[in-house]
Amino acid sequence: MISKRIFILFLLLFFALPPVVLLIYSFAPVWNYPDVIPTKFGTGSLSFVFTQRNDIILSLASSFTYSIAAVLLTIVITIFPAQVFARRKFKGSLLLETILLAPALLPSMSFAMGAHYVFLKTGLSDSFIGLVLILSTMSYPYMLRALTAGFIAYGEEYAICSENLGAGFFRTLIQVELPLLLPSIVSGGTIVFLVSFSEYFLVFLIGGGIVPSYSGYLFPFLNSSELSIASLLTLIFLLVPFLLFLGIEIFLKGYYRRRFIQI
Amino acid sequence: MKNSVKILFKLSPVAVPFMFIFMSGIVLTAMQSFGLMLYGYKYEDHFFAYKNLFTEMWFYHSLALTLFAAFFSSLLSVISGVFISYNIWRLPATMKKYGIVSRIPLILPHIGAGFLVILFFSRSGIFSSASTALGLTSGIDDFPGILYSRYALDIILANVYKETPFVIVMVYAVLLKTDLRLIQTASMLGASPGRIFFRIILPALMPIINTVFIIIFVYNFGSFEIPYVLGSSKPGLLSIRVYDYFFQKDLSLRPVAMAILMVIFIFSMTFVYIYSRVISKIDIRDRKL
Repeated sequence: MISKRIFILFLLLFFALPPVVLLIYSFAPVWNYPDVIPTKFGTGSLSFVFTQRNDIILSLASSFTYSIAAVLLTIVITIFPAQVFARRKFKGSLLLETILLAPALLPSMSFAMGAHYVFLKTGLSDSFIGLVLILSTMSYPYMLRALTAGFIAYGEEYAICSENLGAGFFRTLIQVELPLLLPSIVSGGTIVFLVSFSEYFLVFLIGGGIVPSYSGYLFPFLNSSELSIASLLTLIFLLVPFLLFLGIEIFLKGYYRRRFIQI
Repeated sequence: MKNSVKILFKLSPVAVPFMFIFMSGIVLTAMQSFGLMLYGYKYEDHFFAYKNLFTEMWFYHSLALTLFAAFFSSLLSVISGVFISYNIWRLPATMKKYGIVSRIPLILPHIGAGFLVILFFSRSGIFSSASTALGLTSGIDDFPGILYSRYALDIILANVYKETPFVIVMVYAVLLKTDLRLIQTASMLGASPGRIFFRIILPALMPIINTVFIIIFVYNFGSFEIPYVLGSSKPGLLSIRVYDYFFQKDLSLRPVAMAILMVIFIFSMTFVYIYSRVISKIDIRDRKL
């Protein structure tokens, strides 16, 4: 039992200590060597965030919007391919499925810098749409994997049954398949959102500083001597996905209860 | 015949980004590495970027450092991830809820992980203060130079913190399907904890460990953000060199950036090939995210 307690202590120190330190740093304007505990506390970083609230809210809203747009776009482009991979076995289907995972697996730099040229020529660079396209290209494999697993998990019978009862293609999709796929959409969407929301380099390359982003806003602070402000801004970075996922969790619980689905 | 047309039609949405952004991006990277399609720049020698690269010592140093950092980041992430998930799995049901804290780094951006390493491991950072207070080091200069080290220690630390949770998620999913009674039986028959781990648990986890290792290795090999936040010393990782050649140097030297990217790409492809060999052995129903 003692070894288990020690393990939990280790777990908490390893994972929860860093955010706690960020919190302490946020309210310790001068926490310098060799103080193990800061000697002075203050709310300078809070008042900085407050005076900069317009920029911060704008960049957060922009990051949030392009990340959600990437989630929606990846659902649209992968839902039918996922259905095919889950239900139709044809020659080379496994190979094709593996090849299609490449954009998430290979370093994004290696295609993004070439794609930058294509985007320049087609007017997509420095634009919101271009950014959503590059983020979706990098992250659709996560959605494809999640949806394929989802389609495999509940089988084809629901769709066949619905079509036998006279529902058309789109009605089957929207009223039968999508609700059943919801857990997969959430797990795939979570990853696509996180990848897009925390991406710095592609946003910088394709967004070109024109599309505001929170990672772009935060970056200069991380390299500065303003450790207190950088800590608070990093905590804000954690807060957005945390609140979003909490909201989704609560929504899903209610949703399943209303539909009498047990999970 | 009609059926295969339908399949092609259904696959087409994902083909659009794959062909027009991913593939065309790679093709353009390759062409530009040979000095083609480069805003009207003309090069006498189409292999000048590769010749430039392969005759420079920094390139080999940088490649070696990148491989070293990627390998040790991945190895340490896998070891700590397996250790932690195995121990969470063995916790009694009432204590398992603490395992949720291991999810924290998942929502932390890579640049945030780099920042944490600066806070904790710099010479004026928290660990340095703590070790002085404990009397282990006598001053700032006495603390080991983990940041800007020649062996990319700072980058490895940030990678491990960021990637351990990913390993935990993947490994834990497999552990959940492992029968606890196997361990109880082995224990009753007198197997030691070490023997149980190495003879029962580890073999069961090997397929997922292989997969996860290759995924993070390839990711670390080409990752840019953590080395960029931490600011590297010379020679620096390959991705930082790409950035230098792409943004900081003259446009006529851009083929060098693209040539480095091709090296990264070809190295990664080799690992992806191994990955696909490994994954094809895993049962299709196990391939959940």
